[in-house]
Amino acid sequence: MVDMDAFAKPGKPYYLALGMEGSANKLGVGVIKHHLGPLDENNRAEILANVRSTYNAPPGQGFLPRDTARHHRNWVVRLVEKALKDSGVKVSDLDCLCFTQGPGMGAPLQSVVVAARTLSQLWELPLVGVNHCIGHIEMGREITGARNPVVLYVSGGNTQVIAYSRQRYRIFGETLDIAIGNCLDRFARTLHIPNDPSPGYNIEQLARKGKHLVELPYTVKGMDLSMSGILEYVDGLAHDLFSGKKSKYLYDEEDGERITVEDLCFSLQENLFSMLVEITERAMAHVDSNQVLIVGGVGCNERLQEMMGIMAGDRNGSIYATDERFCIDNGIMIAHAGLLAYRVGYGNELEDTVCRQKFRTDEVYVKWRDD
Amino acid sequence: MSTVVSTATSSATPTPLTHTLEFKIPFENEKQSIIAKNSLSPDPLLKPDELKVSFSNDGNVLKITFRGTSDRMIRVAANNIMDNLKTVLECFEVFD
Amino acid sequence: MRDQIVDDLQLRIPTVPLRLISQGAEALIFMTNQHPYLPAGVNPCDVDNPGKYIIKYRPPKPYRHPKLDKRITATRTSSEAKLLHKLYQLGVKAPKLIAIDAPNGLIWMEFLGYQLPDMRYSSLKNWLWLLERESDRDHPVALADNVKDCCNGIGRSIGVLHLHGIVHGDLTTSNIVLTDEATLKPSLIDFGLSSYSGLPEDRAVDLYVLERALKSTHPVYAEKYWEWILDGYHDVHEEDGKRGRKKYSETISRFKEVRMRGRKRTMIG
Repeated sequence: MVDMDAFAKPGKPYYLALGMEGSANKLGVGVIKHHLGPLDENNRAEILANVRSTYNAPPGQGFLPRDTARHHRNWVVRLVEKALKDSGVKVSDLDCLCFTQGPGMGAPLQSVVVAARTLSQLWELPLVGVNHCIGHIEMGREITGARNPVVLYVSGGNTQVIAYSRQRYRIFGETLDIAIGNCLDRFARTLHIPNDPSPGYNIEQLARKGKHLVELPYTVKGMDLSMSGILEYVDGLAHDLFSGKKSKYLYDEEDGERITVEDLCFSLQENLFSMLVEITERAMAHVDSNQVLIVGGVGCNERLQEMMGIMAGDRNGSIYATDERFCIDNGIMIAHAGLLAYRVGYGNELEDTVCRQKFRTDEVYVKWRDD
Repeated sequence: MSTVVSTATSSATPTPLTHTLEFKIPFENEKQSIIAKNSLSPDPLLKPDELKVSFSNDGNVLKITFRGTSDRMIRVAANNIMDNLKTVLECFEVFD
Repeated sequence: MRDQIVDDLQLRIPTVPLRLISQGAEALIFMTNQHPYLPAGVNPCDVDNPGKYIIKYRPPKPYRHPKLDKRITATRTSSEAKLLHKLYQLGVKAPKLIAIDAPNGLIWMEFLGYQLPDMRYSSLKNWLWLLERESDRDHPVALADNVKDCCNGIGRSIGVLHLHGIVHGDLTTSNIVLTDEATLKPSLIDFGLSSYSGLPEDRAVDLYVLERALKSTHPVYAEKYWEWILDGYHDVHEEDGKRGRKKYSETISRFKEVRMRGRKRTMIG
């Protein structure tokens, strides 16, 4: 059993941490409270504040690092102020200040870490650099109560199937080219649909109205998958559709109706999500687990959750997913994972707070678990 | 916000870092000046062969010196530092 | 749900006794003593374990759209059967094909493997786990010569496949079995994701998938295992002559690229 209280302040029965996240287009700040002792169903983490501001690019465009960083700089101090106010916590009562050290986009990461460094010196608090993916995983475990699940991490920049073994979150399968969220975002751009609230959400709404399944490439390679070829193919179909082509493949083979944009969204989701569920099931079979936890922005998609739920049910297992407060990037997960690390002795010196765009999930030594 | 003294000169020294720029930023007190230095200085430069940035504190003044192979190199780095400096100053304004 | 799937299958082939031996992600694996068309007690010659057959059943996946599901099941079943036959012709060790029913997702094949001392099936994964449990600093039995020979053999088998333009598509330590307790001769199984490909990229991904499976499943000794597998992979290409050497260097340089891609890919959000 790991001693989670070796670094507790004498006489203080709890810990408080503030977390700051800005690795992509969401800026989030959260405040979390842990009581002494290991976390379990009777000793849950308490969320005292969780605020967020999202930068949305205009329709047809992706968010650029420079513009995103500017957004974060404009909002970071105000968001910290708001989070502190929401939580009712005094700065002097905080134990540590946690920030996302990577992976993510360079400029946005840097725009947030500068604020974290300044505040940590002003408030005389230790800094804890957090791996963004670990943040998602630990928050997902805490919220859902899943103890040792296979984790499907699906977002704009990541597509990974992860399982814990020997104090590391190991990557069993991942995309060989682009991430699922990126694939959906780029298709949304092809269709010129809005980025607000998120491109993936808008595709999900269109997909609900689709009824014809268009045949797309299906590219699973073991526990890995590849998506760039599928995007290229479906992009091509969309262009042909918009330019009014009358080719045979733009009509459904059964009822002869013309394929619609909704059908394309539907088919893309069905195809990509089947691939995701398949590789997740492979990983579950491989490590002999029947729990699956979905984290990351794409994890909010209800069709993905439904498909995953059917699969898990067939394996006599269960699916754990969170709502948009937690599966979309947020500050609370950084506070939570950072606090877990702080409680077993992690902390970063100022010169050791440089952000890393390619910080891999399996680099982190998970000292706070020993199962 | 702060006084900025800039001198871009082409000197005849053998070093290829021919262009220089210097910021002198006065803060309310020495503590703030040191915090600003510590917050801005850890991040490594993209092309350390073509640009060097040094930070030093003199009382309440933070001195940042850029030396680079071209004015463009310096401009990019200086802009980035200025952007980050705004965040640092806002932290002071609200929380100090 | 699992029982439901088993019952459904039993209804389709009522006279065949079925014993579920494993549930993979994609298929259920049954053992039976009944050959699909030979009378009871009569077995084909030239099979490793007479009287023991494997039925691999790909049940419908209710999470998938039915149209997509049918397409995937039929394609994978028939391509797997074709491949098993091809491997037999090439003389590569793999389960021999006995019968196929593609639309229903059924393949009958030869049973390969035996029971390990810990009563588990002789997949490479179980065998290595067993050895890893028994290993300590003074007696690293997981790094003994027989493991090395076995890894070499695996590398050779993958090499032969690749030399014939076949990629396995799902190389993990669960999909490699030891077929003989005395010789530890390895065989690849589960060709459900296999395909024909002349692209160095596909061969490279094949290797990358296995390397990653080793690292995640056998973190302590993965590096050594992988080195030995690559040795075997190299040797079999070398023996093939000029064409093999060329193919080898194409594959390996692509493999290094794929590996870098995996490490360097920016991960955002």
